[in-house]
Amino acid sequence: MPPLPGEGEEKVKMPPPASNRYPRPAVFATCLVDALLPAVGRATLAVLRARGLEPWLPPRQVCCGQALYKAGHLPAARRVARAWVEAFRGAELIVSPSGSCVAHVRHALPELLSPWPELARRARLLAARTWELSQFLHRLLGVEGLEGVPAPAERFTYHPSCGLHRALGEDEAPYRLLDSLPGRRLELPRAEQCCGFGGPFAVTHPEVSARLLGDKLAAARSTGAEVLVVGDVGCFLHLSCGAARRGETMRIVHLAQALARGEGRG
Amino acid sequence: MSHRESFLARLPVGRVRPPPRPSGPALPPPQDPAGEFLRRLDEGGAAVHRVDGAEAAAARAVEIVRRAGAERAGLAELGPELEGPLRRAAAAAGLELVPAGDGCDPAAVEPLPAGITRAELAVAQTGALVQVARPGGGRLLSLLPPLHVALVCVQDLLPAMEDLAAALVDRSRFPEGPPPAVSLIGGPSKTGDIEAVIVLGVHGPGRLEVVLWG
Amino acid sequence: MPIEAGRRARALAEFTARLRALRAKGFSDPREVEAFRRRARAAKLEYLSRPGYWLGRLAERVEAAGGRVHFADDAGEANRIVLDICRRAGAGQVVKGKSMTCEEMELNPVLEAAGIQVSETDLGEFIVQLAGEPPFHILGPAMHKTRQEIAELFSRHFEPVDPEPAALTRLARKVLRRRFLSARVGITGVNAAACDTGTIAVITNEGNGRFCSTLPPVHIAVMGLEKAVPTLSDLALISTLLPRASLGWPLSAYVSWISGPAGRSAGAGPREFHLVILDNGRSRILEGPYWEILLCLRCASCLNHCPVYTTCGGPNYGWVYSGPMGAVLTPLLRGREHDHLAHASTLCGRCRQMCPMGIDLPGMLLRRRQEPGGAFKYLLPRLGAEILSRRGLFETACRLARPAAAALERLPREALPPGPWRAWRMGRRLPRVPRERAVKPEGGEES
Repeated sequence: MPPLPGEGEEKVKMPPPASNRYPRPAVFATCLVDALLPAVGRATLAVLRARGLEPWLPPRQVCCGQALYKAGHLPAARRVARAWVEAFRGAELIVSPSGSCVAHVRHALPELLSPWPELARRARLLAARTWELSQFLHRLLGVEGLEGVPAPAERFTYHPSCGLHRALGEDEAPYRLLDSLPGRRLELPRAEQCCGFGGPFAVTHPEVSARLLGDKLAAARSTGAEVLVVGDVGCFLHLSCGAARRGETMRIVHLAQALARGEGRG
Repeated sequence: MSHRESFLARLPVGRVRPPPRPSGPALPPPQDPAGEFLRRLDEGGAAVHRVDGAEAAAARAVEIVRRAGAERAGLAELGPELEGPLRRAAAAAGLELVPAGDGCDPAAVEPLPAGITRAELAVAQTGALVQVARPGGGRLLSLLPPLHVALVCVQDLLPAMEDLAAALVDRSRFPEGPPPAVSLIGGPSKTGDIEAVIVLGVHGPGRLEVVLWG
Repeated sequence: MPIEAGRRARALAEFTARLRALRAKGFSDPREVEAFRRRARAAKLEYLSRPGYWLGRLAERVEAAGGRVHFADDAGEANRIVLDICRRAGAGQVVKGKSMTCEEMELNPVLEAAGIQVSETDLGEFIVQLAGEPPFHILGPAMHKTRQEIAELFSRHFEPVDPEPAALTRLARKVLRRRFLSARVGITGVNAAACDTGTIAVITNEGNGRFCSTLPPVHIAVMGLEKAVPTLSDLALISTLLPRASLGWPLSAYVSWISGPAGRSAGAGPREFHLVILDNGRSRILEGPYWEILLCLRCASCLNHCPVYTTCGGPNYGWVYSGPMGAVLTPLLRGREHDHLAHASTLCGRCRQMCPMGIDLPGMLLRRRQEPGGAFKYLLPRLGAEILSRRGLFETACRLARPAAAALERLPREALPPGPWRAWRMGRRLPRVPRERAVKPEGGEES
């Protein structure tokens, strides 16, 4: 495989070290946030800053390759995986607003890169330091509640995305954090049902995807919630575009936005 | 090589590595076996009764059958503790007992309105009545008539399914090895196949009454 | 994959919701599920590590008890064996319990072509057989039919009857009772088989499995070779795990453990017992990377919890096995033309979570997607990979996408050129592409 730009270079431009005792979290925005959802990126940075951390966005990042991998295109997924490992070279801590991408980095990346043992080793190191945002706050920093964060709405509900809750096995973090906010979190009926995004599935099986999308919005609407909070980036994009198409009055908000104070809420 | 030998030889060996077997049963044994047994059967749709002795059990069985409006009942071999009391109770209540244990012609058992049997064994954790194939046994009666009255002695009640398996391979209990047919019954015959409405008595009895005695 | 519509969609949604609720009520404690799963897996894996040895023991025990064991390489051979037994028994009519394996074999048409009437005895199968339709769901074959439709069907074939479930069931009972008492042969499937004692388990709630295996003088039991477990204790475990997974119940109404022809020595039962053990591609599956699918108990948990199955329904999977397990098994048994099934999944992982055997269904579906494809399959992903690896290309692509997305969004869906944008536009608007990216070049702190 031809080398990627900057691959093999020993000199990597790192940000200045943190002014406090925490490592600087490298924010893994994801390709969808980078391309389409800058507000989610801003919110992620804001949430981390509010904890006294100094996040930075590695400038060469693009994508982890999850969608290519899920579609079964291994060589292409390996290509993107190599670029990801390069882009996050030297990062001591990586935080992302997307559970499914974190799951991909943790579970698939090292094995995908096994033909290149040195890359695979680096991938394993990085994977061990990669966290979804709410998991990072609750599990690593021990955050039980957030102060000074307004309610997403007086009544809101939360869709537990498959990536965060099943692939990463997280059944606590988002709930703890959301329940510490003002406003009332209503239980989403049939919460465990997939929203229908599924990466490539959203365009290979549009009818089923749209039906599941409709079911998820209907379930959220049935609670009377004004806002639906969504953790993963793919689910968020899919549900937002679906809500917009249907002229929903219910707003779709990403988890990072719900957890951010004032200026980060976008 | 015979066809069988080549079939078996075709199957790969060592393709998967089995993990060590976890020790102990999947569930802890029931604290109150009799209670658990009756609770499970009740959940399965059976009517359950708890009485002291064989006399009471026999009397209850006859009462159940008579209350159902039946004047005859098929009888499997119940064993000496129950036979006497049952015949007396039936005579007193005007209930005709028809010998209908396994070995009888199913066509003769078919028209009977009720059947009285004794389960050779039972399992508390799953609420299972257990009938084994034997001449005079009750497997036709637990199949054909619309009402099945099953008598179970608490001494024959085993805690869990693995205990049942162990009992069946226990040569002191079954010298010939496990009986050729063992029928576990967890409730009356039921279906939800039409509009998901539960209907009892599809093929087997629609009414199962279990009398636990002893 | 087309989605179910109208009444069928409602029936599918309601029925599977009911089954999910039963499962949640009776078998959802994660420690309990895990305890069963570990033991059941260990039993099955012990069997699959030496299947030839264990099946040899199974056959030996069944034959020692007076039964006959037949090994069938494929469906054709299995059908011939069953037909031969039926002919020798002089069967004009056979009664049959529900068996996915027999459906896989397409046994019924073979028997019928030979002039033998096949009576399905499971109430749901009985109904769809009369209607000439495929089963709607493995646990509820006639769940798509209304009571009126069933009454009309029964009235046409038998006698006038009230369109009420109880009355309809009574009529079916009457009709089938006659057949049970007169049939020369009963055919059932096998839910699991214990090799050390030569015992098969036949599990139903209606009792039809017991009728088929007790009243006719000849009983034929058909099993896929993956159904075996080493010991009777393992069989006992499976006998309670299966109803827990399917219905949240510790036991179904009727469980028969059959170790030979009970009618010979012990009163009630057949005089002849035949066990047909079918390969039909299973040994090849065991050799390959998808061997884990052989652990499947056919409990339907994956179906009932799958967002795709509960939206599309069984027939859309193209064969007798549907849902996530069907998406894995069908291409393995029927060929690569069913490979598209592996893509009909969001890989949400719910099936693996609910599977009593812990089968990694999403992992296998993902792996199937990796099977080599055409050149088209390499070109576009290769281009996509370059765009997603190089910052410069990515930013250019986003800049181009911005006006394109805006333009395409203004068109009605039908007017869009074919492609993923057109697919995305079903039920969604195209996203707005912002002018700037979230990740800035060099010194990327702010966004």
